[in-house]
Amino acid sequence: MNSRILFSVSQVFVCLPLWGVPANRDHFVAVDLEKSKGTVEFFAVARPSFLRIHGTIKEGNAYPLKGHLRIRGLKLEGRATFVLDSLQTGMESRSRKMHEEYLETHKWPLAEFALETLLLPSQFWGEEQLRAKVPFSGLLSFHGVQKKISGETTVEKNASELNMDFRFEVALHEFQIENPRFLGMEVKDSIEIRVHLGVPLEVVR
Amino acid sequence: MKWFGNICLAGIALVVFLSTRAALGYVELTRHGFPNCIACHVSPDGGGVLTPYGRQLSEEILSFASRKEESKFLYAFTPPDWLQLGGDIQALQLYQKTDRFREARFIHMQSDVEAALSSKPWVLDLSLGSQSKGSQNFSGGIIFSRRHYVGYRPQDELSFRVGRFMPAYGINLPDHTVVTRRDLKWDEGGEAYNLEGAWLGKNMDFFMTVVFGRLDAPKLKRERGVALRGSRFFGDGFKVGASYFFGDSDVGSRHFFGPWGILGFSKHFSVMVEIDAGREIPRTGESHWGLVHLVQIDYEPFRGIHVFALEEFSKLDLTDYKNTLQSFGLGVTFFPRPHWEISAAWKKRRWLVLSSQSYDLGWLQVHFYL
Repeated sequence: MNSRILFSVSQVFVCLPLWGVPANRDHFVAVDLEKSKGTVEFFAVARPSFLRIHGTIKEGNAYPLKGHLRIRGLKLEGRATFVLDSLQTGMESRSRKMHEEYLETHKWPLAEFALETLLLPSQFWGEEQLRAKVPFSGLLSFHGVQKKISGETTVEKNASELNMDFRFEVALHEFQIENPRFLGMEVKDSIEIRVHLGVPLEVVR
Repeated sequence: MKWFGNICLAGIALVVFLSTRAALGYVELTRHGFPNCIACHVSPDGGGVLTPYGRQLSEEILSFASRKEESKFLYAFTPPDWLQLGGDIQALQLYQKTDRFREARFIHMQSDVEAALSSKPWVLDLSLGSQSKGSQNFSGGIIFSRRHYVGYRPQDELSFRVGRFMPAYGINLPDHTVVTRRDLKWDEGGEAYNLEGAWLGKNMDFFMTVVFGRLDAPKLKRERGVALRGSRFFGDGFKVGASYFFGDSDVGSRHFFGPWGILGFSKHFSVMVEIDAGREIPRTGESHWGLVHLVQIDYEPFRGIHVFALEEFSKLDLTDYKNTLQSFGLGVTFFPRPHWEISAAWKKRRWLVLSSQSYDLGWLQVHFYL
């Protein structure tokens, strides 16, 4: 199965002041993900009953997403790491099996993503409100395997904030995770991952 | 010693034997991302013996509190992969107060054991229990099997079965007394001999059941017919569908159809709605149209504790003024630990056949599932 990476990043509110160069038409913005709140989710389906598994970040956990994003002109780049143990599936025994047997978080506790290419729409800085889908690509390191991935980001800008939704699909076998099973259920190989980020607009100038 | 105590407790519960209906599944669990009942039950339409996944779910999602492996069969046993075991014991204390009478009655509803043997793609399911002589579907003999079938699943999406079970129609609610079950004759003892084919897809399912009636008890003169039911699953917890049934018996025939929905708005809140309209055509006399509906709102403030409100309406003959039943009710269902369910409800009911005045109806029910 081909991997399509759609990186959806849930709303992130960055408190860290960002440095910009408003006098220059080549805008520059840096976002520290560690000081933001974001959401990472995954969606899986298990046979034979097509059970839907919605993985989310455990409540009460320290914020698991670290790294930075930089906007230089229209180019977005950056790196992010995510603590895999922060994910839960809604059932404790299922989550534990996911961490211990399949993700093997004791060996590879983090997923890492290096965003290499994402070009914002040309009218991004000129318009107050904007919504567009743009492609992106990067390197995902996960379960000891590094793979190039690509996908689509939904960029939404309004008067107060900038939101970015990244979505991608992962084929588990490509990351050496074979046929996850739990009590007679077998998880399908393709998992959709969504990450959503939101940035207050006053820092994106 | 704890396990020994658990076995004794389960053994005591097993000793009790009496009548009525099979416990069915908890359709509200759709809101947790279960488009098909077969995630938790061996039966593709839900209810009956649990799968290992269903047992684990009863421990971690359904029950207020639990300890590890408490959901095992009789607390202690893990059968081999090819065998699933289950059973149900239920009892109810009923109270009714009308302007004419007041009644309090203890009803021992059910004591069944059930086993499902599987060797892909085949499944053999068999239940054994007791039936009450007072049941309207009493077929003779205290000991009987209310559900037994052979199933064939050549692939995940396809299911066929033949045997005795409840035809797939509407929302398969555990409460057989609501109008969408009782008034449409899907009441206790309503299991018939059927041939069923089903498509159980990721987002859609479809059932077709050919109903042959009670081949084991022709004296009951149960209807034969066909039931169709299709549904679609949306998002993380919404399932909407429609059903149709045609039945024919010695006394007449009937068609019933209508939409239904299990709407899981959040992990805590769900609404179930079913509306059925239909026409009964007696062998003698005039045919008439009828209508039933049910709305049930369920909220789970804490895991294992559900409060619900319901409204139901039944008018099986729209031309007959007295043929009107309407209820409003409130209730609570508590799953304290795996294997246990305690439910209490109160309804204000108006049934014009009885009286123009509303009357009170309440019950306390205890259910132990093995």
